Amino acid sequence: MKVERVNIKKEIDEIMEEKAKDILNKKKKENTVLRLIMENKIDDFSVDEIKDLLVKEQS
Amino acid sequence: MMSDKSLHFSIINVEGYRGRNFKLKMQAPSKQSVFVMEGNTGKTTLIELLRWCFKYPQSRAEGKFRHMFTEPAHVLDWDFPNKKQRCKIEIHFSKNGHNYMFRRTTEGEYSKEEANEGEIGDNISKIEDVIEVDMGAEVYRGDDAHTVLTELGITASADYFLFDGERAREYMQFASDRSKVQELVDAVDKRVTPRRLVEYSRDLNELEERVFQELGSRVTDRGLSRVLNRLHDLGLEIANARREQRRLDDEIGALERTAKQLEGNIAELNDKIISIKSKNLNQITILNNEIKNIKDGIYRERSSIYENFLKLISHVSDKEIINKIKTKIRERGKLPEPYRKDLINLCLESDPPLCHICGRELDKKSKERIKLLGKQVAPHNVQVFLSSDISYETTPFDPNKKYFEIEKLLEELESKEKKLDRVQLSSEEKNLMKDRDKKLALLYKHQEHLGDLRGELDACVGEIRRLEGEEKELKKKSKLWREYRIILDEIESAKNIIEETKKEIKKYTINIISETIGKSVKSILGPRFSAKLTEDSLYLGENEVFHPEVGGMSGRLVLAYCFAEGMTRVDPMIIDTPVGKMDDSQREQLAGHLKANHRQVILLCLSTELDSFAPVLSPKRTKIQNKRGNVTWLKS
Repeated sequence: MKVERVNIKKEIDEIMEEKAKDILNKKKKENTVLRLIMENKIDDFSVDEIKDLLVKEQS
Repeated sequence: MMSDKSLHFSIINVEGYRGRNFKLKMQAPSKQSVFVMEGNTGKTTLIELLRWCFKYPQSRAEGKFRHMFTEPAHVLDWDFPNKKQRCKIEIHFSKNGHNYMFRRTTEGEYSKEEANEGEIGDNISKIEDVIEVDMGAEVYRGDDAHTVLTELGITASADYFLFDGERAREYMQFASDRSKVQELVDAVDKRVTPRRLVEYSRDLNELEERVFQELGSRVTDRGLSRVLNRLHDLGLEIANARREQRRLDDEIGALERTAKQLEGNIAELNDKIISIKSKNLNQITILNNEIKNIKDGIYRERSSIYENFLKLISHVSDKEIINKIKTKIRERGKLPEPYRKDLINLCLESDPPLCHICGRELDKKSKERIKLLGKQVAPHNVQVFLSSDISYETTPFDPNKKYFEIEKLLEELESKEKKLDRVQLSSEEKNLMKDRDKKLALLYKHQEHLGDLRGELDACVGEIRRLEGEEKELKKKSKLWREYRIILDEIESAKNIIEETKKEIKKYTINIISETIGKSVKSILGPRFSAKLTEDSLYLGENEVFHPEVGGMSGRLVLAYCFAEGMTRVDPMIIDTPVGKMDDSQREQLAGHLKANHRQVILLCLSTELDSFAPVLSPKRTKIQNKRGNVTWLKS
């Protein structure tokens, strides 16, 4: 019987991470904090700046 | 073609640990390595040492080494007791274009006396970890070395890519023992959580911490400061309680599914038992009738012995003997003569009363006895029997023949009763009942556990409500908190999004892993076979039937391999004692599968395990011998 190459093990993590990224990319529009974290920008803002940003977005 | 992204081990060098001293040099990338290590040369020790190094950071390593079923087990060399010694393992590997060298050094003394008293014997004074990246361009020590291993995905995969008989047994149990369901749920849960989400959760917690620090720094009022601190603590307590609630929900869900499945299995087994019973019912009725007939026959035969007892006597004696006995009884007056009223009256009515037989005067006592004579008359049939000669039929009666006839009937009865027992409780039925009882016991255990968990969940929900109530009250009171509420609410909402995403990803990834395992099993065992993984079950499938009973030892061993392959996040497989009870063709298929699907397979095997397996992986083999006494001594 011929042995098939079935290994997608290496890709499982990539697929899983990509899928998570896709879902969160859609959802980050609803949440500014999440968006900043995903864009790796959260540390660039102080707490007050984030607060002001949120107040501005909501108004 | 080999990708330098993949993890590749190049050298593993062991010095001193448990008296093992050898160096494994792997084949070049994309080639498999076969090491022939005879019994007691350190195969198990090597696998366990690698697990120990990869799973436990320096600060938590002591007492965590496990060797087969012993935990903790000693790591020092017991051939050199009561002297300071140093053991070392170096693991050279590459990943993502970088070269790494991990080293764990352990110093201490092995105490034979303590070992003889049942202790592990190790007195460890120091454990040191270090990772050098690219020949020392970067060096990480202590627990930081472990962080590097974790980031490379090695730590999370150590239970899978290091595959030996013990792990195989554990994964085989996942496929057939429902009491292992929680371990499976935990393992799957860890595997299917994207690292990205873990990192985002960590970032959210850090941001929340920053918000509270900011709040704290702006508060001058002590009372308000207390309120804010309490709010901070409450936030953490609520988050913990919610995590616990989710864990309990998951555990309850898994247990409920298991219980439901067990109920289904039990119902199925009961149907089978009933079906076997009804199949046997006809046979049981026939056998019962036959047994009744035999018993009747025995009764008839025994009755005939009693009925013919005189013939039985005649067989052993002469009828004259009986007649003589009868005459003797009658003549000796042991029984009274026939009633003679006139004689009794004569005796009693004469004055003075006299015995009209012997002429003696009767005293008071004698008169009373004569009065009673009237009542001491033998029944008529006794009189007739005693007066007449005995007679019986002359037909011969052979008790020996009768005995053998009855004995034959008894043998027949015994045989039929045994047959009835067998039919009533066939081995198949017995096994089914045993299996059903086992499952029932497990179901009761699960139901009991479910009851406990539901109680815990209720308590947890109650606690969350209480904490949330307290939080709400405090928030109302705190003006400053209200000011920052917008950001805290946003963090909370982001956390919920992460949790929902985790759930979605879990479902999605389990399907992918399940499909991978199924394909792998099919590729090794043939098109009839497959496998299925859910969040709380792992089954081998045959002709699309997925059940704990599918497959023998070899099938389950293949499933264990494929499960480990599906669960590891890194490419290499390091295998000890590989093929168990597989036949040659299955060994070849498995070896072919491993070769086709891994850039690196490191096989540790006995020379007797080479046939049909190792040659498929690699024509080259390296014999490894343990150099004893290579321990490093340290001056006291």
